[in-house]
Amino acid sequence: MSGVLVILEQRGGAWNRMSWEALAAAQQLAAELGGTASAAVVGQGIATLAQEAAQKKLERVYAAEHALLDPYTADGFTSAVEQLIRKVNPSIVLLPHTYQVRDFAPKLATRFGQALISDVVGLKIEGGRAACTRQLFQGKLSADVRPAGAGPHFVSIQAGAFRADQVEAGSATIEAFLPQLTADQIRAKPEKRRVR
Amino acid sequence: MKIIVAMKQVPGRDSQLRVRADAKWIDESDLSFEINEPDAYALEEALQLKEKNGGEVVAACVGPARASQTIREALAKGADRALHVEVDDLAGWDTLGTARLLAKAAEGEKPDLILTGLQSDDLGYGQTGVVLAELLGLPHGTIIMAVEKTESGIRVKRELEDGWFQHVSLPLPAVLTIQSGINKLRYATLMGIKKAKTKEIKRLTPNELGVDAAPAAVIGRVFLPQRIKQTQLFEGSAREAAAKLVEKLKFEVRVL
Repeated sequence: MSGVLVILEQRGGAWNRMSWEALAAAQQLAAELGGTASAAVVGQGIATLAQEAAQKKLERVYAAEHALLDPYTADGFTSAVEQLIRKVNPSIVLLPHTYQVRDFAPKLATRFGQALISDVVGLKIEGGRAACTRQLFQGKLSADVRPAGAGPHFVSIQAGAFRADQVEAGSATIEAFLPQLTADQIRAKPEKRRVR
Repeated sequence: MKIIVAMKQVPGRDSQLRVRADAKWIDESDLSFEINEPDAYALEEALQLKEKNGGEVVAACVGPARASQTIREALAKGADRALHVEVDDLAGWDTLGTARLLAKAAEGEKPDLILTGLQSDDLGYGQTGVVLAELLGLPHGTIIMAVEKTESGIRVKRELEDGWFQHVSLPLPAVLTIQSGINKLRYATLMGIKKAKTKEIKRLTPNELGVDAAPAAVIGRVFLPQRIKQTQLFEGSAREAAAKLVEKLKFEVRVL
């Protein structure tokens, strides 16, 4: 188990811009660990996005693609990302703290017997593992929080905690990943997204 | 419909918080405690669903002995009975541990629906409901703004970012985290307060439930964030100054 895997978020072929902040965090963390991070793009019709991500300083970009990943469901995403993590075997999994991540990442971490350290505002490596800072009591207090146990450790990053303009360019290998999903695994039936 | 409401007792919103001597949590002496506000909305939603569809509302709480006050208030507002998992050192339990306790406590109840607030006002992880769903093998919905019963289960309205929302149908049983402010909180009536005294509170311990704390996320140090008042002047043209201001608001103050 080693390395940093960042899960980038997209919808309908467009990035959630917080993905780049999480990517910047992953690059910095991986550098502290003396390696290069990898990234995953999850969904359907993501080839162009994977190519864009592959122009960043990353070891690999995993394109996890399946028809059942569009539209988003917690069941589909949790299963797909779980399978990818079991294959890649990272020690740290980073995610942007988006609405979607809040919906599935706690479920994902539970599959590994872990607790997601969510909404962190500071993140660095100490003693080979993630050292996180997050807010308590709605920002009245702060706390240093560390993951325990073997890992993988799951951390989601608050908007603005890292800077998207610090993402380093580079080139990465794209690897297609086909998760095993069946329609009966997906219990939620989402309707069209609507604006208020 | 049998509904469990998972709720937490937290320090009152206007509490003066001090860090405990060992810096592992806050000093809880001299604090007053109340229901975690987001959970109050989950309780209200459960009570309204019961009024519409019939059934039972069971309040479930993990917390020390003092939490029984908050449990009584839930019973006074209309919950039928309660489960109290007594844990003295709540700060030593992470979301996974707390959800394991709730899952074990809920298991025997066979609820149709479990509701909880979208996050706690103290730790603010916003995960307990989702983890609980996973542990119980149930589907879930987060940041729910409306719940309607359908023939095959429920149809809920989920809040998404930037003013978007989405309706989602789920089979029952299911777990929902309820958005704050979606309903009007009721007050306990005198009759309700009186009745609450005779309602059952089932007390359980982690030992009885067979769950260890064994946290996967450990608080190393709690501290006061540095608050510095300072004045900065942005030089240059209006355009440059505005750009600098946006940058500060985005990455230093982080309000954008």
